[in-house]
Amino acid sequence: MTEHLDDPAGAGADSGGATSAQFAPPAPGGGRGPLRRSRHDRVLAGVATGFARWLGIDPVLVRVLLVVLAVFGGSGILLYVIGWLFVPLEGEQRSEAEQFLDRHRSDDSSAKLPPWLIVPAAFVGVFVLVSIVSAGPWGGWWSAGGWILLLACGGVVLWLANRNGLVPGSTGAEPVARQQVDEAAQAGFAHGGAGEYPTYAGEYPTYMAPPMPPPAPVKPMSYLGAATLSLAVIVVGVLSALSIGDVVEIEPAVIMAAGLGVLGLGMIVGTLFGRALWLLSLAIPLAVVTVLAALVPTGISLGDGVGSRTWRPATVVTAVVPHKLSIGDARLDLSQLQAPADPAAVIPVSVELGIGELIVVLPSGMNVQLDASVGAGELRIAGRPEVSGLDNHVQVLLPATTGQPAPTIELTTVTSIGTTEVSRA
Amino acid sequence: MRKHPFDFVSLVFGLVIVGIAATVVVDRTTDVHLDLRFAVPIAFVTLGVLGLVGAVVAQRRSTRLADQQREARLEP
Repeated sequence: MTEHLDDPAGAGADSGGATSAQFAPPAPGGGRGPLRRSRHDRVLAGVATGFARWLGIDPVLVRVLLVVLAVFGGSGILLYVIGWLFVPLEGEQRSEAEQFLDRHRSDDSSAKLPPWLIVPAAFVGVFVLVSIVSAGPWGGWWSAGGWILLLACGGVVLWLANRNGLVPGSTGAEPVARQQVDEAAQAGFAHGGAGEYPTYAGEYPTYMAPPMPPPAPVKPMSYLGAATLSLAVIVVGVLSALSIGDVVEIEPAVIMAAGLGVLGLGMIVGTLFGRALWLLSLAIPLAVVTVLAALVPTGISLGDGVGSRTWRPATVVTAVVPHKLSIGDARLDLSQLQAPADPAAVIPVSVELGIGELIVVLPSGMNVQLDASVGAGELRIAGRPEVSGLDNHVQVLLPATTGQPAPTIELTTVTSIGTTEVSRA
Repeated sequence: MRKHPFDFVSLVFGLVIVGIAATVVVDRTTDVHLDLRFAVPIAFVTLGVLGLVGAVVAQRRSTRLADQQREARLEP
């Protein structure tokens, strides 16, 4: 029985209790139990439900947040794994990581990580992981958003965690339910404790209320979310059909916005009837895509091809042909371009990319009048500060590195979503 | 479907999502165009309004609770 009871102050003699103490703030008056992964109400390992219960918020919110963080930068996956490893399961004292360490530890007790090292070690670990993630293919402006979001979420969690007992549930029913459970638990403890465990009070004189995790509130199944999603799919389908059939001309962004609006209306209905909050996990990515699609000045058509392209024009005739790619990685290498003899010559070169990474390599012996625009993403021009964000447009003259009179390339690059990099050969 | 207690979170996120959708539709179908420079100020104003509403609601709830407790103490 004692195995199932945690002391809320985390004052266990064994350092094995350090992790739970580190996560769970002291709860004066026993208002909240320790942070535990949920055993019953769970999708994967019960991390989201356990965390939500600990904070007194809706598990759906935590799930949605994890999904969004996973999509933007991948930090959601990292957070989930950390929770899985370091948060003990309901009714357990030790986390998976601690159990693993215990099983594989040598008998030499000095091999054990001292408890005061756990917090710094966790910080270093997270820092290293963050560095790896932001340096990888997920790096750049796309994942930066995820990490900023993660920091913001951390702030909100700290704030919520500090409001001991004052955390309002997402529905008015939850705090009441928790209170009832606490009362029931106290009553049960008083009865059972007196009869079956007469020595218990003596062993733990400060123990007030057993922090039993409240059982998941029983809610009737709600089909509001499914119905809303179906309706949104129908609306998108009908609008697409009208657009394809040339009945009305509707932009893809507007069609997506219509679907998004239906999802939002479903959630508003869920304020009073049924539950549809899980739709957020679809609505947030859809909102991001819709806003990006609305910002892109020219619609991205798939007509210009998908994949990887490398253009390496050697003559002016091939260089002036517009270079286009819809989705993928494009590389325009002008380093082999033969410069015309006339230093007053102007060669117009253009390259358009819908979504992806564009790399332009300039010949050293020619001036370049660059006109670069990026709808959403990063723009890196050699020798100039990097710009990122939305709707960036840079016009700059890059003189020939040879320092002699040279012909000029009038280079226009347009990237709707992605990265543009311009450098000298 | 049965009516359940007021779900504030669902309302807030529903309004935000509908707001985004409406903004995109207005931007793409009318002459009014959205300027992203206003996104941050609008976010600030929205957060501020939500905070105000939350503060007022919490204040009223805690006052009511205190009143109830005082009455309960006075009764016996």
